[in-house]
Amino acid sequence: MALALTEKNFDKTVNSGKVVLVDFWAEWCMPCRMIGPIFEELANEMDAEKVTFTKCDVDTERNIAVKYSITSIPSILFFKGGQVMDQVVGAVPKRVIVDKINELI
Amino acid sequence: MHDLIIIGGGPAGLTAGIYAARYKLKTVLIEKAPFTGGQLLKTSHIENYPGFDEQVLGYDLATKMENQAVRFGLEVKKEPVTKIEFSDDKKSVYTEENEYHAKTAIIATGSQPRMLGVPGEKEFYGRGVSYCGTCDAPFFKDKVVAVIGGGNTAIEEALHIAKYASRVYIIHRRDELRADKICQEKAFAEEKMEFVWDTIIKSIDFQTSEDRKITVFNKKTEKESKIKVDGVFVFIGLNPNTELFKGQIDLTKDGFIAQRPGEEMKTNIAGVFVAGDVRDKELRQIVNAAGDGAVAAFEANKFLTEHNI
Repeated sequence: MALALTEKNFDKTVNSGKVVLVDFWAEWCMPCRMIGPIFEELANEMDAEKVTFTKCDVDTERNIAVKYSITSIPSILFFKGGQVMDQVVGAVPKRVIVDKINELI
Repeated sequence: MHDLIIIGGGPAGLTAGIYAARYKLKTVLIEKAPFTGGQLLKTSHIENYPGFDEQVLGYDLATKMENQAVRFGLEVKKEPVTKIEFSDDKKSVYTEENEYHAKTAIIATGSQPRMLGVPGEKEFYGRGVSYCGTCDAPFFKDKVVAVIGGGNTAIEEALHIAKYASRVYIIHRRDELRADKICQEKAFAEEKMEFVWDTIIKSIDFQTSEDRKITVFNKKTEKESKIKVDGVFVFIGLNPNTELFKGQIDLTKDGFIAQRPGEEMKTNIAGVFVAGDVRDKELRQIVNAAGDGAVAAFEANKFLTEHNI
């Protein structure tokens, strides 16, 4: 299960040292409904020691979305050591996400 | 060996799938995204698809189309296609994981939003630049937004965005809209809209969160000016997804798939058909994408029967 991020656990999570993916989503976002299950699949398939899958609801966590200038969802940010290393916007094929993770691991 | 391979899972491909499955053709549909629906998924409320007297959500319509096709036995694969080899006798489609071979094929790969090609567009995609009002309008609550374009999509999306934004500039290169009259009337009645005619966008600068602006150029007065906006939505038409077919299938100069004159949905290769937005045509709507899909499946079935294969 992708971990739900809030202002309380956001910084700690993205600073963990692992590669951390944050899926920015919202209830009203149709393409988000489609990328959600793929994200969950990846969370089950990939090595949890190396990569963490999280999600962030832009409606309830507006401040985080603003901080990272998120204006399109679904948007996935790839963090390593607290830094944004990469970003994908839109519902992309699973392979694209996997390739980006492998570049960062 | 399949009877038919359908490439692309938007309304054209899914409808072709429904018809082909009902003809009892052994059919596989290959969609590059992890889900079917294509551009339907970017549409919030569809008002002009027959049979829905109230609005229908693009997402719901897409889900229903796939379920309907699968119910009749369509096989759906979600794998990006990497290569195709089409000959008169055999149609081969390769994905990263698999290869598929069939006697006929339908190309229904659709199109995607055309980009402006101005400085700042790529850089700020997802950080102020958007091609999907339905997806991103809520981020611009009480903000100022520019919409580029003057067709139905641009105006419908602008009306949706105006539910959130405090002001919406419609920046259009001509001095009148191409959108249908109902759409235009709604737009002209919306107080938040401001029309900027005869104007093209030159660049986007969203470097800082306070000083966000676009540079525009008025073609009549030949004056350049800046407009402060928080976001830009681009709806200036479509680019066909035909990269895979270059060199094998005849394309128009704009890259759409040419159909043989007078022969519905047929390409230059026997047994390869085309359907939906990717086909060279004027009107690109869900309803005629579905129509194309039905005709293409019908033609594929006829081809198989006539050639007794």
